[in-house]
Amino acid sequence: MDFEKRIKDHFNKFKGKGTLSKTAVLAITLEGQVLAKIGGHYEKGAIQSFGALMTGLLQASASISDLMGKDNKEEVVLSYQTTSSGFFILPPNETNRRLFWAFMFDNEQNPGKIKLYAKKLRTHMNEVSIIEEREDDEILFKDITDKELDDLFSFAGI
Amino acid sequence: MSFVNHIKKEVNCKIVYYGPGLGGKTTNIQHVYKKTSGDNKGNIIKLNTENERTLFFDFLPLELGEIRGYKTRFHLYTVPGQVFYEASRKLILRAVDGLIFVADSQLEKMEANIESLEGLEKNLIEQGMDINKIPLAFQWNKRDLPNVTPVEDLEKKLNKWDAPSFTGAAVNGEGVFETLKEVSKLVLMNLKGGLD
Repeated sequence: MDFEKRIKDHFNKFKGKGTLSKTAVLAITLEGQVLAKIGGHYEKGAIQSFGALMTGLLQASASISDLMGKDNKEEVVLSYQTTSSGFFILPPNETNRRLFWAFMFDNEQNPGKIKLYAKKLRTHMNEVSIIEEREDDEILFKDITDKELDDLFSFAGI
Repeated sequence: MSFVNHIKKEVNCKIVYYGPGLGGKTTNIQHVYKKTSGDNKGNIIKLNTENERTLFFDFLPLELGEIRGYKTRFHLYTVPGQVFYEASRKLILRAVDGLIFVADSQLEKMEANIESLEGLEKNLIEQGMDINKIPLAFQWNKRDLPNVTPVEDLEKKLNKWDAPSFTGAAVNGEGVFETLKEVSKLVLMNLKGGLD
């Protein structure tokens, strides 16, 4: 089973413990790639931008925390919110260190409820292993040819 | 760190444009954005100061198509070039798969090029990375301007790794895709592992 499906399966199991009708939940790697998107109405281009920007935010916050001499980054929730919309970013998942969660909500009467839910989800996800990394050192495209590269960049007319 | 999804057959790589301030890093990815069709590109993100200088980073996701059945996606980032944004540059370098050093060819910019390159080496070391092990290409930019340093001098003073290099005038698009293509090739040739 691929990890995107694993993420969604675990999320759906957990979903029974709460409601998230107007919220998009993103599972993002520390490199800024969005592994899974659950709910929400955002287009693909915007989702990629969310991944890059939220990773930047998370990394910048961790650096600020380091400069402040704080080591309690695990407890931090980053947020940007009005009374009814905004987002929360949770620190990286403890079990799956390359992953963190972002919750984006709109027209939500009680954003505090989303924050509480987000923290519970993180605790749940810390108990399961989602990401399985391959140990092999086999190079994927070792003998890539100029023709293959030319085809890849043919759109640029070079 | 590149990200290979073997089940979905996707590869995602991070390429960072590095170099001195006003050297043409943002101009490079703006040209890529302009020349790429809507199906292949995402939104370009620019985190700028009020006077249009890069504050944190620029970001452009680029889908290049398939290679041996794998969909290839590159995330292009630029760092802010101004000296006092060192902390931001360190962050952008995290998990980098390939580097393009955009040097400003103007004679009076040689010191700035050297300082930026030394900063790059130092920042990589601080992140536990070795510039010798990361795909790297140089772009000698602004060749359209008068009063430029000869390419041989740029090679001698900056390219001590004998990395691939290209002359360019990013403002006209010259050398932009040639440099990106070369680094992309080096990155793809280094891809291994992945996630299941």
